[in-house]
Amino acid sequence: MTLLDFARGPGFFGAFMIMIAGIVWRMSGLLLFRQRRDLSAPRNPGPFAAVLGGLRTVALRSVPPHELEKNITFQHFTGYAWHIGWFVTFLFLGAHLPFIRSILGFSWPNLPNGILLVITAITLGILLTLYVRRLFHPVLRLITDADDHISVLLTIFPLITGIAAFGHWSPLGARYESVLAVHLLSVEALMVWLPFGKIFHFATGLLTRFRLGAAFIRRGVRA
Amino acid sequence: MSGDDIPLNETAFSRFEAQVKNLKRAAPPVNLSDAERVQRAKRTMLEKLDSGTAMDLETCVHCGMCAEACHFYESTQDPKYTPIHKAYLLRKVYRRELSPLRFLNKLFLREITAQQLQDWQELVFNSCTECGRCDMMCPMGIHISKAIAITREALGAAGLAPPELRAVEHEQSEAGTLFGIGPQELEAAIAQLRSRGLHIPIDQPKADVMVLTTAIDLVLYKESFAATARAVDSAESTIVTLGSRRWRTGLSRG
Repeated sequence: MTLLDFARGPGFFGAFMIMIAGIVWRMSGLLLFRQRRDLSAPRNPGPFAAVLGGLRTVALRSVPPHELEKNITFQHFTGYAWHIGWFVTFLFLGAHLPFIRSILGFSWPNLPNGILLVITAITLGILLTLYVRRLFHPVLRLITDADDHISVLLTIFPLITGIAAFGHWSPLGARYESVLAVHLLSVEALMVWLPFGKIFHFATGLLTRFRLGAAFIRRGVRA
Repeated sequence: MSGDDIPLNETAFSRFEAQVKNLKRAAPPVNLSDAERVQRAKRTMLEKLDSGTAMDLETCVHCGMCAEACHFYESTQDPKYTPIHKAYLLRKVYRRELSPLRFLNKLFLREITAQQLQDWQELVFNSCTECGRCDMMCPMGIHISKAIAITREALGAAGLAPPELRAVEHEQSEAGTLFGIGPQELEAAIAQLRSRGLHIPIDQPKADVMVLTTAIDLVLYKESFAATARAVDSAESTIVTLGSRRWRTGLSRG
């Protein structure tokens, strides 16, 4: 079995299983943990007030309150930009679609490679810039831990190995098949890490927004 | 000020000033070992954590945006005032003891220490007003101020609330007074205001809004106390009441 065979077969299957099991484990642990009732009388006692307040925050928290936005403009926009760029590359690169079709049984039209190359380069540029910023910004240095380094690097590696595979580069004289295998393995490493590190916010982020919105509307304040 | 205003009592002011200056020394001693402090803090944290706060602590992506919402960070640019950093000890205890991934986390995270608890006193008591601006800023919608409040409670349980607060708390729980001001002073203040024609009923049943007054208003700024009574009394269909026992007192509107 070649490295590529492994990456396409048992490697992918194993990573997928660890990802799913990890997500189920961590999420059920969080949801089954003790719930505490708020005993205060709600300021907005309507039957759907909490739900609507929660949904409102889920939607509106994507934009920071205008009083505070000036302080975080750069981080706010670059944060969204790289997430969008990463997923557009993943979902719309022509080379990815046969792979997606082989798993889902269907796919969708791809974007032109030229456009995607630009998007990928911008995404990689932003991620590297934000990572360097993390290494030097006093606040980020203080709150950064190993999880941050691992999560950021595992998000960046698939982009770098993907560009190498896409451009048929041969670093250290490696064959194309090996470069492609490393690209797949970098994605699988990300899948394995997904339930364990901060990337897990993909599963909980909207729930935390919802809970905050519901709690604040109960107090009768904006969230 | 109109001619009817209650004159300020200079003696009371001097006495109050002396009490405030002495507050730190009036704090009761805490006889807890480092291990006991850590144990008490951890126990409080683990009791207070619930599913919502657990999910909050798991969801932080360490973006640091909350710093930009914090008054203390904004005015000093000192990273230690980053709100989520103030909840660091809570997150650490949670990740080691309660998280679904605690078996893994324990391999990498050390126990919190008494020194860390001591160090966090300044961060959670002196450098947070619980204003909630960080809650408004967080892109994940994490209830950061709640996590800081839990950390405060944990430090309180470990005997690490600031001495001034401990002194006030001690006096309140032991003697039922604040700065030496108790039910008798409350009665005297009410009598004085009633003699000026103000309507101040006490212990009214079924009052559903409590308007609390302060010890300072009762002794130093009686005019402020009178203004509160006038404001609540002038509202339509209002019952004003003051509790007479200890500090379970207030003006109520029903």
